[in-house]
Amino acid sequence: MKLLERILRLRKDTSGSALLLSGTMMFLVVMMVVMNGDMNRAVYDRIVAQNAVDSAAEAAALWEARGCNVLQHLNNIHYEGNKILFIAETASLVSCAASVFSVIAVNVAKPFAWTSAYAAAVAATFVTCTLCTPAPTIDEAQESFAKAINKFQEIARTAFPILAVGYANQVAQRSGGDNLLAVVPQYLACVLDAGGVSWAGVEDILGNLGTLPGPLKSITLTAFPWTIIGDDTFFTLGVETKDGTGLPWKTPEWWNDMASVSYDAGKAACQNGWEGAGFYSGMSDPPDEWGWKDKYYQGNPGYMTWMAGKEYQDEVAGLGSLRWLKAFEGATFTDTNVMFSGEILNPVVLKVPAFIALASSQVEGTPVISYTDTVDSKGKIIPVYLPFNYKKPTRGDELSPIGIYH
Amino acid sequence: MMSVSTKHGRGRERRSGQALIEACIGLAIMALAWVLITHVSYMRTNHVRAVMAARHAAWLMGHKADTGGTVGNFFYDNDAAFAGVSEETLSLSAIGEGWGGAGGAKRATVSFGISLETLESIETFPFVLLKTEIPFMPTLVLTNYLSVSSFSAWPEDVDNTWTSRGEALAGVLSEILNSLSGALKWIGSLFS
Repeated sequence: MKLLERILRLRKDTSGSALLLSGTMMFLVVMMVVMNGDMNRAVYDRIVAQNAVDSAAEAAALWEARGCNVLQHLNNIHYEGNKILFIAETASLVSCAASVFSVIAVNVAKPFAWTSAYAAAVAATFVTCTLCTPAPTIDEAQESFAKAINKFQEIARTAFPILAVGYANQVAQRSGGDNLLAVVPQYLACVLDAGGVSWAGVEDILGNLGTLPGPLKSITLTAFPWTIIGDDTFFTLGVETKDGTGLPWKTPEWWNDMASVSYDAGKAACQNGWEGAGFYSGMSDPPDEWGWKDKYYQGNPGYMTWMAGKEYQDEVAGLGSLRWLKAFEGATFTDTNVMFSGEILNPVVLKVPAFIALASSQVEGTPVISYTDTVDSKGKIIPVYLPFNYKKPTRGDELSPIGIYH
Repeated sequence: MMSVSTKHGRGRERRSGQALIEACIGLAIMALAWVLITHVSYMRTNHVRAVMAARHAAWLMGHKADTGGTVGNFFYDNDAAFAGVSEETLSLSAIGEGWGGAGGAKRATVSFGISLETLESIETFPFVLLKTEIPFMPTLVLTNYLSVSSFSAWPEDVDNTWTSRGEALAGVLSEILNSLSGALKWIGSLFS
């Protein structure tokens, strides 16, 4: 009876109801705030991922642009060097031709050796033969020069994409990006999970990528140029060699023939049949082939798309780890226990998801080209726009789009 | 009958003020929760704003532009005064950490909030809430979350794409020398 009375009295007892109500409200509000914290964390991570990939894309574009400009400078140096060497060699070969006539003049004037005409002919022969002598050396120097420039260009073309990847990774890392070898498996797991595909084990398998063995363990890949998949132009800066046409890239055939005839005649004249021939006995043999046919670098790296990301995070208050039926851990449940149908001992822990962000960049400007095509042949990086006169919009203002373009 | 009525009357007397006391306790706890929630939400929001501001500040630094009041624009009008930005130059290497290189980066760290020293004199919402003291609350319990900061990095000297031969030569030499120096350091570290 006493128990019944107590129960009946409890129905009418309102004491403690305000506290109960406050407690319930508090619990709900705190839960909402925690969820809000998780949402904030997700937004924060998403922005950090985007910041990381944006800075990586710009760093890569910067180093690709620098690589292109180095190639362009070398093209220009090659062009200017060829021009100087062509003029020098032509002058030398003209001297060879002139030496033939001056030797004839020396021989004609020989009976009048006391005359100034003879002395002038001898002097002219000395000059022309002296100038003729370096023609093969100039031709060979040009070949070595062209080879050296092309070698530097080949090295630059290989090195700068590597620098682009290296610096992009470094900047992305300093911007807060995480190791993609860990992020990608987590992201794939999230995608698979969202698609309803059971991914048990998949994360473990893919997660092993994040712990590479031995010395490879130290590799941190924070940013990755997505566009290299199926496109190898990234690793060549999109720049290829091209056969030069016209001077000074290529000497004309008639010039090559003229050079051969001229030098052979000049050498024969200088080495034989006049008083100063002894000075020129050591004149070089002509090169195997006169003139040159050089290559230069041409192209454009185009655009690339980069990827960076953030690993998943534990929730602010670990709500995802709550085990609603923890008290019954170890018990056997059947489908009739509809309150919780997941795995009890190993529940799926909710997390702030992993994020992957993409950004594209492009090297803008005249592609790497021959100096002859345009004087202003300098590649330059695409400008990134942010309005400097940006002011905070007030109510009623017409908003203009603000963005950063890569 | 009399005795029953008296009993009921005494019971009502015993419960009088019950709701008031409960409300006092409940409201005090709710007030504390409200202060905490407001402040935490506010700071979390500004943490996100700070990372956006840091990215733009880093971008401006990378382009050698003045960050000026840009950072303040990412916060509400009254909050701009609580935002600050610091600049740091980082030495990067394409090869790996500690190798050195010609590349560098600017890191902008944007912080938002107040210091413990300024808390006593602060009169601005919601920081002023941190001075709230409810019954039995120890002093300065709410001072652990006074500021947030975020950072972002951007490649340094972005506008310098070596368009002149001098810049290209200096840049290439710098890259080679720094890489060599890094390699020597690394070799030295193997023997030390």
